[in-house]
Amino acid sequence: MTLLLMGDINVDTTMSIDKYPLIGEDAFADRISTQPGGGIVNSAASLAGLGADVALSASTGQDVWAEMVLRKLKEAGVELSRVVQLADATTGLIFLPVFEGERTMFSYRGANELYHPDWLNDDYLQGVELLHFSSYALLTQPYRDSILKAIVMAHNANIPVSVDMSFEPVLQQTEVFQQLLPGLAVCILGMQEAEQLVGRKTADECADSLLDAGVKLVGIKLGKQGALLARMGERKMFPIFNVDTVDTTGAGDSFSSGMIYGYHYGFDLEATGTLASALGALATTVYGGGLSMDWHSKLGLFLEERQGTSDVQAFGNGIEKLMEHLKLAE
Amino acid sequence: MMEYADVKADSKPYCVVSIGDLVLDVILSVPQLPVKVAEHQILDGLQMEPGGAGNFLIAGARLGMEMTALAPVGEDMFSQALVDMLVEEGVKVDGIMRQANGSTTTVFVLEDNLHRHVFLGQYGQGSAVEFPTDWKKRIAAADILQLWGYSLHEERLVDCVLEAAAYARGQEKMVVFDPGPLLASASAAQCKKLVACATVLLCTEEELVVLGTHCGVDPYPEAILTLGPSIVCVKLGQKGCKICTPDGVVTHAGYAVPVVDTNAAGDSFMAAFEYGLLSGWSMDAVAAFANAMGAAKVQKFGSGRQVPNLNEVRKVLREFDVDIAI
Repeated sequence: MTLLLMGDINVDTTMSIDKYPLIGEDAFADRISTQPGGGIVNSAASLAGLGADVALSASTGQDVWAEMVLRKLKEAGVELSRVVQLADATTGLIFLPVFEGERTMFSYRGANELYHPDWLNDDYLQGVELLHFSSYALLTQPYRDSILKAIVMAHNANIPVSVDMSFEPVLQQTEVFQQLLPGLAVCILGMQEAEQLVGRKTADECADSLLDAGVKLVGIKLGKQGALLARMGERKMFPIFNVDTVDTTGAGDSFSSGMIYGYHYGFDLEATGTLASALGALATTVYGGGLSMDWHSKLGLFLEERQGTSDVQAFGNGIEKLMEHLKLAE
Repeated sequence: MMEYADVKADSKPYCVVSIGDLVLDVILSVPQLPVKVAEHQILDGLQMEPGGAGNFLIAGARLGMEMTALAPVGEDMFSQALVDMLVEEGVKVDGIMRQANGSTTTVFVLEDNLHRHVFLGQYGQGSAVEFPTDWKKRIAAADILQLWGYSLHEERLVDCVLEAAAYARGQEKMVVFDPGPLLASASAAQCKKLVACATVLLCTEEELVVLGTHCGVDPYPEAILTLGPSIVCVKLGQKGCKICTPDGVVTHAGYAVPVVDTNAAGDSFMAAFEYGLLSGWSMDAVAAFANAMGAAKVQKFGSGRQVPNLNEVRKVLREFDVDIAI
């Protein structure tokens, strides 16, 4: 009953600076904070928080950074037997200077790039019911070959495959991603990635092309406009929930969690889109990716507060269906 | 061949205690500068190195001295990474104070392929440190107490440093003071106190001017000698160094080597200088050896664990026919 997520495990270091210095200059932060990071780490946080069995497949160093992030993942109930710790590599590190609310991201993928296909043995997908991967994993070798091997193994075992796409990997590996489309159960991406992949200009056209290519469930993130979810013969726009945002880290990854969770548990489009939007919104109400958040309770309260508001109309029966599911899951 | 001195013969290593200025440098190799604001940039490389006193501590350890770091840091991953690296280099870290409510001075150096830099960072903060008995014992057992001008900017530590300096001087220890480039913005009164406690002062020509202003004397080594130190060494970069004592002035012209990166050259120089002093060498030999260490450093990139090792210093000494057996 496991959802297996492949991608990068990082430590995010965030610092609010008083200016962007010119060459040769400096800028200082009052405080620097470190949090577990990486798309699959953030997704695992919300999926595990909702009670799903989640496992990660990735590589880290054997250093203080890995010690922290793996400890927190373990505490959150994430299964880590497929995480390989390498003695001679540094755990992936992301540096995020924030100036006037605007984040600039510097990423060092370090050990993440080194996940080797030989580590995917015959038991690798034992007990796995869905394989999800982050597109960044396809940027470099040998991780790219590991992901491609895992996808073939998943196809052979009739395990659905899901992907969360980002622009840089799609730009660099467009053909690889195009070839993967027919075998994808879930494809989550933004408009920029969708245009690069299928060459269409509107979200509807892109969704059509992706469904025609064989994707079963498409989620196109449209920023402040919300998201378009589509499957063959059905589609719906979902607005964003208005919340008091403190940090946007992990919002997209939690949206992906909603898509994965909805697909895995057989939700209809309304419930899936509502869950994805709600998780994305909830992720912005805390600092970091939400590994220590009680997602189940928070989601329940969040949905309750939305009842009787204009959100009910915008999300159709999604809120009601989700609340029903949460009660059943208790 | 110029003949100077042999290494220390007995087995007990020289013991140097450094107080304050513990920094973690995180060097990020960025694809370009200026940075693309609000965009995702994948780094070409990342390196973490002990900075500040870390350069000196590692250089001293590589010369075979027992180097001890005394400083407060945060109870965070940056301090753990820093301490781990110092331990690997043989630096004694059990005097480092981990403050649960504190942070570690961390500097993120964004470097492009033209070796241009942008610096982002945080000053370490935390509760004020009261001169711990344990630190007092370590200083009492040491051959040298090393002080840093940067510590005058470490709010949680400055009073402790002043007390430690006075204590070491009272114990008739060798007290070495490196004022550093941030001295101009430090308190003149506090600077004067450290100079008065120092037995040895190492500085650049620019720092000498600031010292003169802060201490109300002419910016000459001879004037500084009247304030407390018995040795003033002016570091002159590629031109070597000038050592002034009440007995006279010794100059050394340095070594003509290709310069790749001057980072940490002064700290490496200082470690070798102290080794020479503790060995009882002549000032000529001390200068020759310290300049060789500096020359070994400038021929390679980086700081922290990139300070020279013994073989690299020996190579400089061999190339320039200097007979110091180390």
